[in-house]
Amino acid sequence: MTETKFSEQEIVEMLQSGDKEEQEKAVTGLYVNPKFFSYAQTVCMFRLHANAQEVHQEAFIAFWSNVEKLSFSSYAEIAKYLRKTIWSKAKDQRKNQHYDYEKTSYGELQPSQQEILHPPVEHVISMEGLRALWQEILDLIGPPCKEILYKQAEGYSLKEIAQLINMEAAGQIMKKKKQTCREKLAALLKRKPNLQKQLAQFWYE
Amino acid sequence: MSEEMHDLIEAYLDKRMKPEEEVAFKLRLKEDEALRDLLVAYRIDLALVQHIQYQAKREKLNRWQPELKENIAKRRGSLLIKQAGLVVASLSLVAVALYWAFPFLPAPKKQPRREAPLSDSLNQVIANKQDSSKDEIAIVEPTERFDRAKIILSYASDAQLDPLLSHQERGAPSDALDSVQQLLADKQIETAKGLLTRLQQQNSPQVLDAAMLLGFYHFQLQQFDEAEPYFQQVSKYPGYYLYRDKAEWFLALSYLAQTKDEALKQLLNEILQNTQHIFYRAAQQLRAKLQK
Repeated sequence: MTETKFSEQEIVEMLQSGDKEEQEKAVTGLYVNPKFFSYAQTVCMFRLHANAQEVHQEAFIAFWSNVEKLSFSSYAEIAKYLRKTIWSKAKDQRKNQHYDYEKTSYGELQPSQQEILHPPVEHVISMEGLRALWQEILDLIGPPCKEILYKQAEGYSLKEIAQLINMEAAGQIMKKKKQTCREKLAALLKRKPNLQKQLAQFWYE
Repeated sequence: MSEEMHDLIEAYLDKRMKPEEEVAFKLRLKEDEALRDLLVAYRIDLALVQHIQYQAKREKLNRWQPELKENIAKRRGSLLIKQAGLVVASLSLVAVALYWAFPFLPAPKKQPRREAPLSDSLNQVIANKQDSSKDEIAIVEPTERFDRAKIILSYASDAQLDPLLSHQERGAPSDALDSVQQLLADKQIETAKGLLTRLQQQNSPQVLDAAMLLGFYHFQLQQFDEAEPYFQQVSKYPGYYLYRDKAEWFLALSYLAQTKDEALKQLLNEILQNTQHIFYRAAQQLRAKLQK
């Protein structure tokens, strides 16, 4: 385990450095600070259905994903941004749970009451549902395509991935391979109409 | 699927298309199902990369969870003390604010005071006076808003005529008055009363002095009901009399002792009409106590 106790100034400098490792250290330094977790707890106290631990983690993942695009001049700005993110994540989580509730209670109510009290919200897909869907697709596409995707997620370009797996004609072959993977994915969706329907709901609704 | 389709989609997703090319691409998208499926596959591909990144970050953060818990536990300890202090302070502030803001809140019930018989209370005070080792205030239990016995006792030493002043006023010593004084000293009260009746029949100028002496005698023996007619006789005398003020005041004290409050108030009002009355100040104080 690396050091997580940094001064406010150090955290600002590490985030501004542009180095991914330094940024990761800064994010973990902020993550283990109990003040932000307390804030998440306070926010979730008012939004009774939200889970503080989940909200706290979600907010930090969002912060980590966006940290390269953002620029902070002081620690106060970082703290403000994090609090805002925690607030919006708690709001999202409650919204999702609300939709889940609507779905599960649909069969239990009489149609007339249902129409008045809770209009059907079947077209909405929750974040948890979406993640499960991505995982399902990942399991279906096969190991070679999966490996390329994992390398891409780590930030490598197609050319770099080709060099990593000792391909001679690096760029072009890898590009072709990637295209094949995508065609395979399209064919997979054709075979799984349910999957296609869910994705269509996610993108077009 | 052709290479051209891949190039088209990549150009569309990277926003490298001109506006007219984009419109044409969207029109083709509506008709060409294979192109549509491939675009969805491209999008899924991007979403999958983001999903993998998300999972990796989540796993990394999960590794720091024990340290976060440890920090939270440390912070909670110090916070609890602060919060307890804050709660106590805010509760006491609210209590003080409520106390001042709502004076109509029910006040604690007062215990009703016991009404003790006056003679007992007076006897107690007299006993305390005689035994100087006892603390008067501590032993005499207050039976009312003010202690009647205490007031009466404080004027007990005034219950006599001033012999020097009376000599000056009269110009000559009075045998009848001396006789009444002597009879009272010998506790021959009936004889003294007979002498007084005779003086009244003779219309003697010493009759008022004799009545005062008899009144004082009964007053000192706590026979207030018997002292009352003598003081009334003097106070109702139509002409000038040196001790009229004193007679009125002792009549008031007699009323006070017998708890004849209505008569007492009336008499006090009469006394207070005369600002030159020698007991004016005392009457004012007594009336104030009665009104409370």
